[in-house]
Amino acid sequence: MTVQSVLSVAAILFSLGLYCVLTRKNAVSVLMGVELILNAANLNFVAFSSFTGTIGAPEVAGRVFAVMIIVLAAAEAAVALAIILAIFRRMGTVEVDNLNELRE
Amino acid sequence: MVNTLVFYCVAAFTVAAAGVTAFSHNIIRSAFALLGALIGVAGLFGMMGADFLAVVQMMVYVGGVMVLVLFAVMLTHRIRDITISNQSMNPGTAAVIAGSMLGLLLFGIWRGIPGGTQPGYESAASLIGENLLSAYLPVFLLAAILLFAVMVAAVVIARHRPHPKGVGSNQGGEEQA
Amino acid sequence: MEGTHLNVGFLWLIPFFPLIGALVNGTVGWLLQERVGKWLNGVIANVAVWASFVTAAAGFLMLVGQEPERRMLIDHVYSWISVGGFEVAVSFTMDPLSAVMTLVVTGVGGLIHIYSVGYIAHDRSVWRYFSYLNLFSFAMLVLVLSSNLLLMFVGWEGVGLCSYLLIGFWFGDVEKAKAGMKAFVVNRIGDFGFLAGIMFLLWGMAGGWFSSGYQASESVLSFDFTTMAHTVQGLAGKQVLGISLATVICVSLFVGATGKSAQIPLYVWLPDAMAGPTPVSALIHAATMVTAGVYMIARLNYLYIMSPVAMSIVAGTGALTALFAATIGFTQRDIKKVLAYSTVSQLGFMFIGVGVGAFTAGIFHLMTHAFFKACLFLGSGSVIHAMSGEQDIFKMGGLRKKIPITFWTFLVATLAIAGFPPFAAFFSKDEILWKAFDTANPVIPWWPFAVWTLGAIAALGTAFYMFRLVYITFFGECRADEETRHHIHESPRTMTFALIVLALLSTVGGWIGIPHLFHLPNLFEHWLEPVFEHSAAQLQSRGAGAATEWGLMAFSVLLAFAGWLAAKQIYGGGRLDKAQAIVARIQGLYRWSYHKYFVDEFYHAVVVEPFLALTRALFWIDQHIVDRLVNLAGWVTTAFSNFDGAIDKYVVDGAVNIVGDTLIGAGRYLKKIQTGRLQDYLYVMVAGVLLVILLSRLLAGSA
Repeated sequence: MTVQSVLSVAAILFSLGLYCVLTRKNAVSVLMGVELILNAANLNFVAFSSFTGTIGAPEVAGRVFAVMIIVLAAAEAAVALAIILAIFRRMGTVEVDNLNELRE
Repeated sequence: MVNTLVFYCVAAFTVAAAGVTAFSHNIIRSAFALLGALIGVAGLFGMMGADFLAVVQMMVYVGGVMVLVLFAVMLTHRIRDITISNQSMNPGTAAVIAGSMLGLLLFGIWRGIPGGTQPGYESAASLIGENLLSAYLPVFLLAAILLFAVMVAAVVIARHRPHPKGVGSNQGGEEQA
Repeated sequence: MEGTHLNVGFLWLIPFFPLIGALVNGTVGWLLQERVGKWLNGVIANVAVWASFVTAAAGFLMLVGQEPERRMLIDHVYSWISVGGFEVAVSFTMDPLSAVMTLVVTGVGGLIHIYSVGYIAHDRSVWRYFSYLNLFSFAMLVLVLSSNLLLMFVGWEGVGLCSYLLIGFWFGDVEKAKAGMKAFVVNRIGDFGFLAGIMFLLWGMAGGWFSSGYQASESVLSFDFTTMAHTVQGLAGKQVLGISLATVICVSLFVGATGKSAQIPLYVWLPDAMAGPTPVSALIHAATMVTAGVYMIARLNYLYIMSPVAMSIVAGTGALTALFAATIGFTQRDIKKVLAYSTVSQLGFMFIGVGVGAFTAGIFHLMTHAFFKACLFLGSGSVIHAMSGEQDIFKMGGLRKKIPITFWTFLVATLAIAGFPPFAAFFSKDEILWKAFDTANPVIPWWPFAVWTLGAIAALGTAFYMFRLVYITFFGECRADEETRHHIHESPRTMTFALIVLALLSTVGGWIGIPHLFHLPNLFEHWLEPVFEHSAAQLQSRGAGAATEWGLMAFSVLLAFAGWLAAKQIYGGGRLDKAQAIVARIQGLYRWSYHKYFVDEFYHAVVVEPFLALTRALFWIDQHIVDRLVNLAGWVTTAFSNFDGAIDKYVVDGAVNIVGDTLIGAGRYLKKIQTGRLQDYLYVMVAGVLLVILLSRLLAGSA
């Protein structure tokens, strides 16, 4: 278990999340991809925090950032899902390729 | 040695779950796979000595966000067409882009970063708490305010309102507010 | 310096009273005149000027009570200009010199105010007259009381303005309005000289461009007269273009004096100034304002004494003017013109005095002249009044019996001006001529003799033209027509009162300055000693001695008698036939004198005509060349504009349209990029991020 291995896992998670975001039609699925990307970022923070500090005294800034990102992710999920619900109620669909009102 | 083995097991589980999330055509399956991936990440946190974060990950993501996601799925789709609910588009292009991103990242990780020592497992929760309430207090407070605002915003956005037109036609426009 | 004066708080009242009088008469005077009556305007003006006379007298008595070297009252009113080390204050100083001037201005001025009440009573705008008169008193008092050169200049300009206003008092008459303008313009030329002098002085005191490393200290930059008495010593030895700086300053200031005090070459305005009301001629153009130049030179005696060249110029100009104006006076027919040239001539005497360093004598003559010339002018005003406005003496005659008070006072004043002992001018004029003869001139050794000769001839001429005037006006048969003759009457009490007082002063006024020769105390010289002691120490007597002085004095009296006898011989009994016979024999000379040596015509030909010709030439150039050029330029501009317009229309606008059309077409294609689909944007974004990472990698690798 080295820092590189943890970072590699994070990279894979990020790429999968990116793929998910890029390909999914369903808005809820896009949101899931975003959650994956955020988790990948969190993993990086924690990895750097743990592997640069000493035992019992990690570089605490990384942990704090991780906490903040979790909070942000939760908030983002709440608002995004509320928006998705509102859009569904109004448009009857959550397919993002149909939601092209901003065209031209 | 055991550690490393466990790590690889957890890592593999996480990556597999994320893969299902990304590639599954069934949105329910996708959502539950995401749940697995998040649990896996929590495990990785624990393995790196970040026990507090692991707990937070479990409680907030697994307990909160996932419930939200599932509710959203349920509310926006009729159960009968679940199977075709999670279509993909342009998978080739996306794969190329995501793949090249992955390659670039791995290249950078394995070439540009010196190896680190294995961390210990002692809890750093008290340290995080102290820091949050001293050096990072402004951030902590901002996060609190943000959460409050988000809570209100989510409720306001998601609340089902009667159609304004219906009210207006009955009351002659006098009670539009 | 500080221990030698008294600080008092009342000197500002002296100019303040007339100012208030002027303001009251100037703002609500017309109302008072209409509602209450003309007498009230006169009362206001008189109260104002006599109040300041009383204040001045109080100051004078305070001065008398002091030790001679402490005789200086200073009233610092407020700080006017304060720039760095340069300070100018509005403050008034009364030392023996300005005390004399203040008393003359307020005393003689007050008498003339009284006289004016009777004289102007028939005019339409009495309030305007008295307002101007008080304003003049204010300006003149500022001039004589000011502690520094700049405030003096304010007064200097103020009296010039009032002079202009009063000469043109009857502005309905174009000739009179023109006379006012002439006075103003000529004075302006002089004022330019004065101002240039002030500038030179400041420049010199501030260091100038001298290479000697002379640096102005903070206290040096002051126009205060007492301070300057010491600081001007720093100017010694400095030169501008090879001329001593002191000479440049003094000559510039003297140009101002020639304008204000009517000396050659700027005297031409004064005879024309007689267009104003006669009391004004007496007050401004005989007694007070025209002496400002003399006063200024006396005030700056320490400066003038540094430049023997400038002193010689002053004395020479004075002597020349004295004779020149006297000879014009021989032939004039207008009673006021004769007196005007007489004034110019007497001012010449004063300049001889200050020019040879006899500042005391110059100021002494200034004072006595104020008495007898005011008396003469007011007498002439009385005569004109009696003659229903007639001013030509050839149409008068035989007035001796009809207006006796006027005649006797006029005669006394004539004796005074002619220099008969013991009347005033005998002492003052004799003192001047003696000093002119006796004081050594370090530049031109024969200068004193030349100045004295010119002065002596002028004195002879003075006696002649004055008695000529008296004989023609008051003796013989009356040559006026029946209508006028019927109206001849003595003037009202207010006018004769002033005449009597002034005649009295003309008689006894000289007694305070009796020369040492008589072994009586010369009060006047003793009085002014503290002011001029510094300058007096630098003058050298030629050592002519008491015997010569006695001789010259006797010679002066002889000259006066000679002038009188000549006048009696020709005009005795008011006859004109002898004179006409003589005139016929020297027709040419007569014409020169009668036409004032054609100086006005000369100025007109040399200054005014060329100037007008220049303006005509410029007008022609303007019409034929400049206008053509302008038109050409206009035509070229129009043509070019048309060309430019075409370019604008087809080239510039075309280019703009092409750009616009291109952009619109491009936009038509580019807007299709906006698909509105989330993932399309994401693709671009991620691809961009990838590109950036790759590029940075490649660039980092290459470096």
